[in-house]
Amino acid sequence: MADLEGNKRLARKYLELIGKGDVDGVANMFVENGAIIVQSHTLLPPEVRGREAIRGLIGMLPGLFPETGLRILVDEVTAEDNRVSIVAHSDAVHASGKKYKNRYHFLIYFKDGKIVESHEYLDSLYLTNVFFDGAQPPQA
Amino acid sequence: MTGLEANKHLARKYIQMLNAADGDGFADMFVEDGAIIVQSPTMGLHVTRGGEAIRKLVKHLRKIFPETGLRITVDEMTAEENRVAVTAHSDAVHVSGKAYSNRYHFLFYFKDGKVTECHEYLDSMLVNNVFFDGAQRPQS
Repeated sequence: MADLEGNKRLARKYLELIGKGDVDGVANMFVENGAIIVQSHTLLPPEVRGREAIRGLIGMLPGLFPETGLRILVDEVTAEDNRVSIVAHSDAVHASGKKYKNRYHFLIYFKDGKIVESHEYLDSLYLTNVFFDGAQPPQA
Repeated sequence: MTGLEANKHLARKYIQMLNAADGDGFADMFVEDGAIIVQSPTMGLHVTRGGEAIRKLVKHLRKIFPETGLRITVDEMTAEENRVAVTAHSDAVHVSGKAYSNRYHFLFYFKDGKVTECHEYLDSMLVNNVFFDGAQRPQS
């Protein structure tokens, strides 16, 4: 039987560690071949797989949010079986000085206390305006 | 059927009615002042509240996707208490002829067999490009 409360605790810890820009802490929460998959496409890589790649991604955050970190606040947590859904919002300041208040819906898959995949749904248009001054990936 | 299974059944029915653009059937799934809240606001409506507004919104889908309907397929459901989180994707053709393959993470709140709120997280940049040719609202 899945440990729903344990998985919820891990999901909250995951977002806290992202907020701190804790590279090793975040990477170690994943299975070796775990992945962060951003389902809302931007110029950011849509999939970052493997602890080393995750380390590289999280390592960018202090540079992107030097003043506040990527402060993400949890609004709602819904869990079943091996999954935790989290609604959240960020309250951060980008390196450019722009506010970064995005809205997220994560779906995190766990196995034996580790994250297998974290799927992120976010406001891609907003991210693109703040991070990339509106520059978009080529359209398919 | 348990409460959770009943809510999942309703969430699937909601997607089916949305695909069919069945304005009356869809609106009847909500409580009187129920709402659809798009958490990735583009130039479209952010909050659609109340039966009449919801009915009009969904009927309008027939004009936006005359060939295919919105054609959303459910991928995963995560339920707890009064909530169901649903990941899904669309495979539709917009009236302009453009493909509309979005990815969604819904969070439904239910009360006594009715939807009180449906929060929608989607790829807003894709919506913006397909629906509005990239034109944006003024940024705050």
